[in-house]
Amino acid sequence: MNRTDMKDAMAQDVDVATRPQLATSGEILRVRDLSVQIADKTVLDDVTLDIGASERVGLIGASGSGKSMLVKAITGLLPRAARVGGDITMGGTRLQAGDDAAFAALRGRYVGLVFQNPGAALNPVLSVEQQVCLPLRLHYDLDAGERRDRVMTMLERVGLPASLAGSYPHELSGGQQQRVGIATALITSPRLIIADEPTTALDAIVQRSIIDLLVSLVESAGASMLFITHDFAVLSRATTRCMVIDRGRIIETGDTAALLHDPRQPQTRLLVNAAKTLTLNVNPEHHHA
Amino acid sequence: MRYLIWRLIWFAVALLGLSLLVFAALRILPGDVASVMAGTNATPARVAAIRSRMGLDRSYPQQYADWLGGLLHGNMGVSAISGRTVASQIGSHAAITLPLIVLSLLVALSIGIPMGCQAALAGSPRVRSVLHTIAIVGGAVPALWGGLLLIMLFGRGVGLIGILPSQGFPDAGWHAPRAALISLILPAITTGLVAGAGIMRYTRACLISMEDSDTVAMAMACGMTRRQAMLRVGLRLSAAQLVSVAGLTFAQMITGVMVVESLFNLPGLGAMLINDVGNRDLIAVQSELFLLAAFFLLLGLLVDLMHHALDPRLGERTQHVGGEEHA
Repeated sequence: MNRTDMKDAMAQDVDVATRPQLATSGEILRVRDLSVQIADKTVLDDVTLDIGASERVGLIGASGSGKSMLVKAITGLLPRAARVGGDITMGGTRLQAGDDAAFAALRGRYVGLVFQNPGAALNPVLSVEQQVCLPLRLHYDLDAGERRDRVMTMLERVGLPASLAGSYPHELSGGQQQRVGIATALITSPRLIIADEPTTALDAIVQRSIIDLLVSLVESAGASMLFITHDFAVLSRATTRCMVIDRGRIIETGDTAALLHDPRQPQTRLLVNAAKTLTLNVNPEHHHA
Repeated sequence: MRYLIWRLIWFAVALLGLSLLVFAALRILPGDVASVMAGTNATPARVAAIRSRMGLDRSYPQQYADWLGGLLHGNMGVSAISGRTVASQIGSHAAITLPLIVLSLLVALSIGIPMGCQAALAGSPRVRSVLHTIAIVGGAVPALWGGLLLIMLFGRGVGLIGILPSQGFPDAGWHAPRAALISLILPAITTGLVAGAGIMRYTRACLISMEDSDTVAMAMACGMTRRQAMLRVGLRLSAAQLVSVAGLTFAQMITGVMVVESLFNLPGLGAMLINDVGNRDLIAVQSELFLLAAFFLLLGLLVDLMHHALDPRLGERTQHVGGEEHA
């Protein structure tokens, strides 16, 4: 089925159609031996991972460990100078590095991305409605009225009033901007949501509400999620399984709670201990104890 | 709307300041214009008569008020040399220079932007490198040399492929539109190619700076290919900068085109200004300088207004709407 046929078929019933039927046998994402080199520096080294249907998987690592590079490699957003090896299969489609059109056909439809800094990611010249509508415009042939209805419903689901539809990103708070980012990622009901440190730019209270919103939307949609963070507290709230990445390699995987309590690799222990120390230092109850 | 009104008020204030500056500058300059015009052997009576005819015997405030009042009514006085009204003199020369500049800018934009995009987005690094070199070399070519080369290639009667006129403007002016337009092709290409190389470099730099931006990544995440995202989002977000560059290029052409006008023997504004300054035609030079500077101010105003139209962040609504997230 070519892209136009697929668009036509899906436009007939978007409630169902916004759930792309590309994946086979519950496998959402399959990555094998993924390696990435940029300017002779290896940023990812033999990364292998799988994400199944309705799984919420965390990816944690220190700054510069390769978390964001992995997201970019999976979604075809790497710089042009990057040299990529290995296999990526998404929704049953085996993706060749450099096949931008194939990646673009899946991005925004099969896989939705939530960015770290929505203030920088949202297009400053598009209104909230235009921004959220963009994946629909790019992937589905819907009339303007139907697109608007879908956007309004989505805004309501992410907790934004319809009155904000005509606002521009600079007129919104950080939390509202991230809700727009989440609405944009979810508008086509993708099978996989990749959230790249989506709460780093937000304060603690907003962080929690955004994570809860993201998890509840992903759960209610039955989608899978790859959640990238360097914060174990956030990880335990958002995911059930997690992987630890260090210097471009996946060094440990397992159940999130188990990994938090019994980290096996030294680097994982360092991350967990650092998180615990930070929590103890900032928690006044622990100080009094 | 409030910004527009505010900006127009400032534009009017700037014009007033500009008129004062031009008026004062020409009065401060050494030398008596009436004596120069009368010639070395003129009698004091003749000099006084010329001074009286030009209104130079009146007080400075009176002279300024007369000139400003005339400007407001479109009356810029009469040239002491040619005897023609300054307005008609400027009009006839501007009828050559302004179309030439517009044509040059069209050439520059139609070459610079597409080639700049290609220099940033071409799949092959070698193609990108070649295009970048073309932009650098193109920008370094002096207009005079480039124009000569074009005349030697395409100038009717002298060129290898002599198909275009390379000297003068038709006597009938724009009453013979085809001939007039054709006579401006080689000068417009000369100016446009050099300016186009600059616009090409800016376009390339703007796009390259956008390539790794989160906004372009977000557009790609929504389903655009890299090329689509760069052209539809990157170029759109660079539009404000490109408008500034186009505005500056346009302004520079007003004076920069004088060399080209001279090379192609076109009686444009440049030739007029050089003539009038040489003849110490105070009345004409005063209005010409004012109009030239006012044109620069007008370009600045238009560029500012276009920035506001292109970027909602510059609009009046800047406060967060809908309250804070915590609420």
